[in-house]
Amino acid sequence: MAQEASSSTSSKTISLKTGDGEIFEIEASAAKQMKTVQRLIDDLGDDITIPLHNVFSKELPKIIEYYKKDITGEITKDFEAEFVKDLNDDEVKVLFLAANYLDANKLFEFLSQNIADRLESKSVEYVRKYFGVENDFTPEEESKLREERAWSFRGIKEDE
Amino acid sequence: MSSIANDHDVINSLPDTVLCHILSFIPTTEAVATSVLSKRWTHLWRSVPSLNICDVNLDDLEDYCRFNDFVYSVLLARNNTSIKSSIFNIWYDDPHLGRLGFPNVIKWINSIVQRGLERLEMCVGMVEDNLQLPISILSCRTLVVLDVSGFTVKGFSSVRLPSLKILRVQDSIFLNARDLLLLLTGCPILEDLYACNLQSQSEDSLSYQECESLSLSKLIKAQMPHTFCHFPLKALRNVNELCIEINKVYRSFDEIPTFHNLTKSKLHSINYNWNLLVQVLNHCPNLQHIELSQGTDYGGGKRDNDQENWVDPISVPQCISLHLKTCTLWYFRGQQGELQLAKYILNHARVLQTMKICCRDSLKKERELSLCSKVSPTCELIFHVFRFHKEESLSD
Repeated sequence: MAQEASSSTSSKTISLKTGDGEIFEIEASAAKQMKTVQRLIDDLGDDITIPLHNVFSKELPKIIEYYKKDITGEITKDFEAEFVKDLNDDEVKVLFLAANYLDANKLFEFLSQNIADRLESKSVEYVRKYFGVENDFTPEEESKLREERAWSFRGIKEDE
Repeated sequence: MSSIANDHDVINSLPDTVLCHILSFIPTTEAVATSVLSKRWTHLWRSVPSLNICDVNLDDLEDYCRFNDFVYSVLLARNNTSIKSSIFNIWYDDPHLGRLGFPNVIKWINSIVQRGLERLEMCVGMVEDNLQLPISILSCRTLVVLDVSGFTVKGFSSVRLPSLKILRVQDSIFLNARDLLLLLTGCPILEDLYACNLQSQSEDSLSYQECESLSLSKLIKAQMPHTFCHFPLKALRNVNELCIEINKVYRSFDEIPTFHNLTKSKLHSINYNWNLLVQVLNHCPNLQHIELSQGTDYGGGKRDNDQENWVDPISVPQCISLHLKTCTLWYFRGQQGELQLAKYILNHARVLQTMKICCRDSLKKERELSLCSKVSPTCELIFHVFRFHKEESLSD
């Protein structure tokens, strides 16, 4: 179908369907901030429910909440602090992955900073678990690396 | 329908650029430490687009040598990814180490400003003396945010910061007011200025031409608390928000521009110059929120012009009668002129919602002001009393 001029979509809502089958509505102007969604709209038209295979009903409402504030220009440091206050490290990770998938730049930037803040001074093992990293060093290789980079490990918690 | 992805698999399959992006927010020491996470991570830190030297406190030679070594190793081992943002937060607890070490900092800065730097935060100091701001920063074409504190800023003749939008300079010393102006002249698209506690070594005033030469047309916010050197108000005419030591930065031959966009203002150091205050208010037609103080603290001692009396202006400043919603009087001493100002505002500010008076020790004036007529029906008068170690608020 032919695309209308963007000025006519100011109050239009778009339907998004999560990977677990739930449907959410967002304003077209918020959808514009998520480049993946906008690309799908451009391909499929704005009357169709847009499928988001990798985003689920647990995190999408939170993302919609963020962009609702963004389009009214109300995102402040206080709002952002409040937004992540009650989320644990794993919940932030899930949101971050969703923001990355949706190509939602502002939220992606904010959550990158938040994850970095949470990981600062955490132990090596904690960071490994967080990123799902398999340690493929032998104990000798690892301790050699640590010794070479001794200055780097000064501020980091030791593993329990 | 695809099954719910395993988070671990997904996050581990994130591209290097995304992981490096997260690492760019943490101190470089920790980014380098990620090299032991796994073999994939051994070299990731070399592509992190930031150099964050945070919370380094040097008081012995061995520490100092290891630290120097570390930074040089990082700079040499990094690949060609440009460094987009950088933090330098270093304190030399020994002046000898400071004099020895700072030339290295200058070299590090010189190297990164040529590589597409966009954000720089620097607070590098040592006991006994200020260090001099590396001047290569002042011609970094890509810099968007600059935040420096604790430096002496001198030894430069031109400033070219064509991309700079946010400038924060604190606790720093300039040779004279002209140098501060020269710094700002090199920031044509500046939007946000924070210039706190800047001192000028010379008492000179700027010339008329110098005042005219600065135009910050994109500036939205200007905050200059505790900066007392001569400064042209005209340069700040487009701002929405202003904080300034008004009677200190103004000279009687300066032009006061009309601040059309100004809605929120803090005017400190009025020093009982009521004439100036009224003139400024007459040039802020749309002001809604105002904070005023005669000095800069509750400190005792006589202030200039303590005896100057308030005289009602010929006509009510437009902002007071039409727009003023909140007014706060700081460091209130209950001097006659201050009382008359407070009453004048209460009598004429038709849409005033809050008048807050902050004073030290309870003054007997509360009653006098509470009884004064308020033209705004919704106006609330609040007294905020500071008693050395305790605060109390008394509402009307």
